[in-house]
Amino acid sequence: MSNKKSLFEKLFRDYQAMVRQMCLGFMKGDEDDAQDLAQEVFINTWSALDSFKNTSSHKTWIYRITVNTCLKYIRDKKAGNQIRIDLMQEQIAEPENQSKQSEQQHQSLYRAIGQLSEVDRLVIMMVLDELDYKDIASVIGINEGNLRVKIHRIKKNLKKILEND
Amino acid sequence: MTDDLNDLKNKWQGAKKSQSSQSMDVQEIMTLSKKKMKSAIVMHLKNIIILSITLVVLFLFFKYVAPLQEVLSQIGIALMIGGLVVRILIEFYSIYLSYQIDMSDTAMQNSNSSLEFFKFRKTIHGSVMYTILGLYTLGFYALTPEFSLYFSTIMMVLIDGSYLVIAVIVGYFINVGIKKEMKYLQELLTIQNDLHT
Repeated sequence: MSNKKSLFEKLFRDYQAMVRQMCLGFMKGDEDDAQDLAQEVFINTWSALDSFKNTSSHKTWIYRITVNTCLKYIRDKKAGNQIRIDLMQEQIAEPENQSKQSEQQHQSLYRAIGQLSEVDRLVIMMVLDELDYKDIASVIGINEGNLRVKIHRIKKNLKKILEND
Repeated sequence: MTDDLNDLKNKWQGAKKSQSSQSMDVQEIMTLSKKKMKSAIVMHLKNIIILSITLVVLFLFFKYVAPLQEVLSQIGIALMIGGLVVRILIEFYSIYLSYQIDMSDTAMQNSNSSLEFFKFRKTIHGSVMYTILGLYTLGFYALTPEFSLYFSTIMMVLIDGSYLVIAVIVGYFINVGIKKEMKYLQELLTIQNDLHT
């Protein structure tokens, strides 16, 4: 139990920022939803910790849990409450009171990637996070060749989005 | 395109740095995780416990309170109790399938096992549940001839009539359940399609 606890604390320390950032990007900059989602990721991490096999690195493993939790979260919301999601498309977060310039830049980033589909959003966030294509492929579960094609298409979409912004 | 991507990467890394300064409470997360695991087990077992209590009450009722003798009544009891036993077994299998969904699998594997689980649930909450409800109803009404020997006609009309109301309500909730499972399935299929293309 104490081994599990110390490993969890280490994973939490090492990957907290990455998880929060992925969740924030996935939730299009909505801080509250991102916080809930990040919490859910670590709850799932704790639950899955006993079954961790050393077949992948901790990093890839956490990315997998993050991606699956994000997809489950959006699936649950859409199945349970369609209106909430429709509203979410519109509400792409306004910067909170502390409207700093950097905050606005972050929001414009979330706004741009927020226009992609959920899966594409997750893939491009891993690219932005500079994860190897091999690792991204092992998180998503498709071969590297298909992933490259996918990333190329996402980049093209993103370029269009940025041009229209 | 490379410049745009590099610009996005820089913004992304900058935003990530600002996340490092914020922190969640690790102890709170661990407490929440344990609580959630417990409540998931309770939620899974809740249906089984309710169905098992109903089963035991029915069994004791027909054994000690109303030991019906006619063949038709015996068939009715078998249908009611059999339906409940099948429902409990299905519930156990459903729990087993839900534990096969591993959040640390690849997104594709996770989506496949979720799809299998929800396809199963759709079948269970659809045709199987309606069949069980139908057989249970048949079993219930099969008891009427022997019950009517001991109860007045008005009483029998009330008993049979109130069952019908309950059956309609249960049927309505089955329908709501199916619609919910269908939404999950549609969402899963969309995600799978996105993962493939």
